[in-house]
Amino acid sequence: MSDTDEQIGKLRLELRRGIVVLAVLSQMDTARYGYSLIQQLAAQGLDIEEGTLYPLLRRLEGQGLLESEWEVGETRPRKYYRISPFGRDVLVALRAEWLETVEVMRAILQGGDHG
Amino acid sequence: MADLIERYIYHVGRYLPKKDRADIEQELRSLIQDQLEDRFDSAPTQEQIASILVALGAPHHMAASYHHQQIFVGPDLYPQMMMALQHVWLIAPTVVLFLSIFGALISSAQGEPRPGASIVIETLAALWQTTISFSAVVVLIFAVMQRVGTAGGDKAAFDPLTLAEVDDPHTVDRFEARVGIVIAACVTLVLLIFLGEGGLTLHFNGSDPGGVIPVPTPWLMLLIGAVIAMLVLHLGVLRRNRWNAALWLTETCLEVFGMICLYFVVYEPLLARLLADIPGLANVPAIDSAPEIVVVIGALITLIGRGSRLVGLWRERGSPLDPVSLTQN
Repeated sequence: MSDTDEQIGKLRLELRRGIVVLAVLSQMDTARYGYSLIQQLAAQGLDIEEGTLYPLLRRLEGQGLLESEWEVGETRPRKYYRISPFGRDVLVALRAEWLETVEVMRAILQGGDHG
Repeated sequence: MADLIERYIYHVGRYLPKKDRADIEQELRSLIQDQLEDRFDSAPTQEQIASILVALGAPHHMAASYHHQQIFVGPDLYPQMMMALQHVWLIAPTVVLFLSIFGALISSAQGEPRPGASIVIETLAALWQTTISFSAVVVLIFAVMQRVGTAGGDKAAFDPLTLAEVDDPHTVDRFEARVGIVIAACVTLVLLIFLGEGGLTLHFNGSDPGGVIPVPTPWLMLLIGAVIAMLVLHLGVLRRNRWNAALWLTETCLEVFGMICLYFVVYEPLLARLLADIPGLANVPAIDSAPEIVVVIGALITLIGRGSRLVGLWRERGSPLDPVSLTQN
């Protein structure tokens, strides 16, 4: 891997870190277990490693943004996560913030292209 | 199939905080099986399972991603730093407590008895100060290791098929072994100073040994020999990365022998000094037998604690070496 690729890889990781939280929260109106969420996000074009997602779900739960429950009635026990009322409030604010950021960044980057 | 998954989960769990361990392990088990069902046939091969585990990363990497609040140390070294800190939090207060009692006895022997309240306050302050200081040193060492980039390892280097069996009695806990070597080296140095001074002292200064509680030299030399033998044994085990029945039995015998030596070198002389300074203690029931009781209880705990593993190693003695169990701690 060249230095450029390596640098881009690191920066991409930094960019994705916050995006992943927003993406996960946006999918949790329906109760989901980890692997179904990975597939759901992948189907929409966002690939997340398992080693990233599971700790993230626990962290969001620890922050009160998600709630969880073990479902034991299936072929194997699965832990389902769902957004909490507090998480929903945070998601509304984050979504607005994200959309505004996208607009600002678009203007900045397009300005950069012309400048 | 389950064996490899369980081995992986077991090794992840070793680095997880106890309160979250069971929940995370169960969730991880569920995740792996979901992936297997999704990607492979009903009976995936070991290689297919291994490919899933490689994608998850080495056990300590996986466990590290569950630790969120690293300040000085990144996720690769964080679990190991916490293990080191747990040792510090156990050993440092124990040593300080012992030295405080010992110091009180020495000062009494020198005709400078201190009030009890003063001893208690000084001991508490020393406990706090020592624990904080040593914790800071550990964090600093790991922070430096982080800076210079000793936190290595990438997913490509991880081979799940080499993971040690769950509860394999041959497995060497390399971290524990290293801690044992460092402690044995420190203890040897202190005992050599005692040997030079002819007894127990708190002044590690050849020109001014201060008050000395005499101890029988032959037993002190035997104790030094036992500690050095344990140090050498741990070095050998680290090198071969595998316990066997003979080595485990040897270490057990050395531990018990060390306790017997401690009886003559530490417990008996200290009790004799205590009784000489505080004659009223002689009225405490069974005080005369306290050293023997300490040794017998210690030896029993050692034998019971190590016995089951010895039995496991003994049963497997002579079995061909299994490369799968030569692993990665």
